[in-house]
Amino acid sequence: MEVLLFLLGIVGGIFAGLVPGIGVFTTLILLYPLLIDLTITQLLILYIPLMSVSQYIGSVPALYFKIPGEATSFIATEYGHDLFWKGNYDLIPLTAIGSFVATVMSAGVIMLLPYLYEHIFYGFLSTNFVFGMILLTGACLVATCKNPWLLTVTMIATGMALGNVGFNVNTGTNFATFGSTWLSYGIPIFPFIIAVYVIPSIFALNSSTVTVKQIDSAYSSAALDVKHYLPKMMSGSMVGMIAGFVPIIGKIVGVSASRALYKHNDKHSVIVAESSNNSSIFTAMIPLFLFGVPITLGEILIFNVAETSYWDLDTAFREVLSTPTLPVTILASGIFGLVLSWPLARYFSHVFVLPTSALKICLLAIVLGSMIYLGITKHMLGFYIIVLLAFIPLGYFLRHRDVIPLIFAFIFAKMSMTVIERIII
Amino acid sequence: MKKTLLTMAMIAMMSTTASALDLVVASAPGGTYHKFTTVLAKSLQEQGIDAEVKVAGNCILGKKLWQDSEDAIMFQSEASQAVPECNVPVTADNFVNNVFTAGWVIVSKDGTLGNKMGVVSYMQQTVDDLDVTLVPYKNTREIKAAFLAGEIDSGFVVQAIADGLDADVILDTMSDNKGSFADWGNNSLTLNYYLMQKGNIDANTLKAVRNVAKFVAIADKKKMQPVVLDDMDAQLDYLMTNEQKWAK
Repeated sequence: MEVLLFLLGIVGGIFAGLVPGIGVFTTLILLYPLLIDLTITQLLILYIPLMSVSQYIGSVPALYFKIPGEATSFIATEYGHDLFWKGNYDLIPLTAIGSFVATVMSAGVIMLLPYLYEHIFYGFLSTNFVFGMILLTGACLVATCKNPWLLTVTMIATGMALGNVGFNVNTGTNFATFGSTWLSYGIPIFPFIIAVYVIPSIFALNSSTVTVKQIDSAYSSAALDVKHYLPKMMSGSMVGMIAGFVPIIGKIVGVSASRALYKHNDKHSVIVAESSNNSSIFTAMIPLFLFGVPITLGEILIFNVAETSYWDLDTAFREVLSTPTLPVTILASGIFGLVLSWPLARYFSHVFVLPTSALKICLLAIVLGSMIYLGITKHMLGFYIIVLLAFIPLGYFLRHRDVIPLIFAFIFAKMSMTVIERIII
Repeated sequence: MKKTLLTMAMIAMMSTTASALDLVVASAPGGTYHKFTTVLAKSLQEQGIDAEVKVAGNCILGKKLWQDSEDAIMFQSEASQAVPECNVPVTADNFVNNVFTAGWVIVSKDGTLGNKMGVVSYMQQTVDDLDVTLVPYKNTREIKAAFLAGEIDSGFVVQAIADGLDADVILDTMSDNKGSFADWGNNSLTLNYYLMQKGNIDANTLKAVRNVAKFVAIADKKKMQPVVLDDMDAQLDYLMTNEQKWAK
């Protein structure tokens, strides 16, 4: 049963990483009826490979097609895609190896948890820490963005405003909903990102001469180059480990800070950011394991499900922690992710036998198909289409600009406002 | 290209298959309402009753989905009923049964409220007459984190959260002993998860909805045994009185 769940997690991770808009959380929602009867160990054996493999796989379409598999792939899409196109094919194996380095380091930390004094982690739970990290992310975005700083600040402000649209359940107030029931939901992120980022990227896509042989050669050379990149991969992993403690948006904080470390070298910054991704997803689980405090959407879902079956969930988590199950699952997931990235990168090169116009149509069909599917399952397809159409002009206007600050600010808008409200008190 | 479009059309068709009974989740996916509704759906499906879980996204859209559905069952609680935009009045006609009742406790470091008390944002109004600075959090798990981090001196949380904390419990709203809070008007506040119905749902289905074994097991495990009164008027009065304490 456990092996089947692990394999299901691997398949789910490939699905979440490959299909635009279908991240880890949405995949978990699709599997929800299955989750209800699982034990906490089984839930983690499914969840860990799902989120880990999605990180490895997400980088491949991000570098090839500039289509982000999930939010943290934006560094790879924005700063890695052009390099890949110019012949830096070793970016795929190097980001995968960087992710694996992060995975090994994270497995080590998780293995040590039962022997660490848990009070050292209390500081990471405080609002001041989260607030500090949000400020740091804003500063990193301004410092590393390729736009003039004023445009970057304007984008951050716009992203914050757009991200806060909707009904705030916490305060019982509406912001910029103009009496619309649909807007009470807020601006859905997927059609927004398709409009401002994905469609302009697809239209700008050029033909490529990348071949399977070049990919194989890139993997061979990357294996020899690892020594050169290892310190950077480790520093990215460390940044990700600290950023992982920030609720909900930890991965974004991590990749923004990692990019800032190597802002003068896009290749290094992409490798470091991808390493950061993978370590942050695991340290984000530490508050859950030690204190029963889930801090990411996926963890909240897992915690909620597990809660129905356990009288004392905190103790159940600690019992899991005292076994080798977690480090072994994390390492096995990393090995699968690393190995799977190679054939995937090879097969993607075949796509370029298509004429560029046909490739663009196919990519658009996949992205819009995903959006239509999500819109239908969420009973708001019409709203999704309206949002898409409404933001296409903005995407066109910003097509030659770096829109990462706009997107990242949009994603962490609600969290930032909540934290600022609390800091003021 | 044709194949891609055909596949997309098939996925869309599969996603919109008609179902006899809608189980409306008037909140975001992955949360408590979604969990309880999925348990209900599985129980009904095991008994051969066709039901589909529909997740609205938030309580406003949940109300809309509820209004648009023909035959539907929906979980509700005072937490969302207290929001005017989300309120679906509970009546003798649409009330099915009370499934869970959760009490609230005040946990403290030193036996007093201290200077700052953590409270869930949407229920600040229930405790705003206590003599302490209120710090809002999204949910009780965030309050737990803040308590551990030393950010607050006390917290208003559900029993399950309090069980996992090394803290003094200075009020339990389900207990007869109210301690130093005997004069506080909201010292009996509870959170009830109950089911509502609409449309033409047959008696067998309703019987199945009222008898979900896993709900009983969850209530036992989580100390959430529902307050169930024999008289319908008394039951509704209990829920409405409690709801008014939550209202802003």
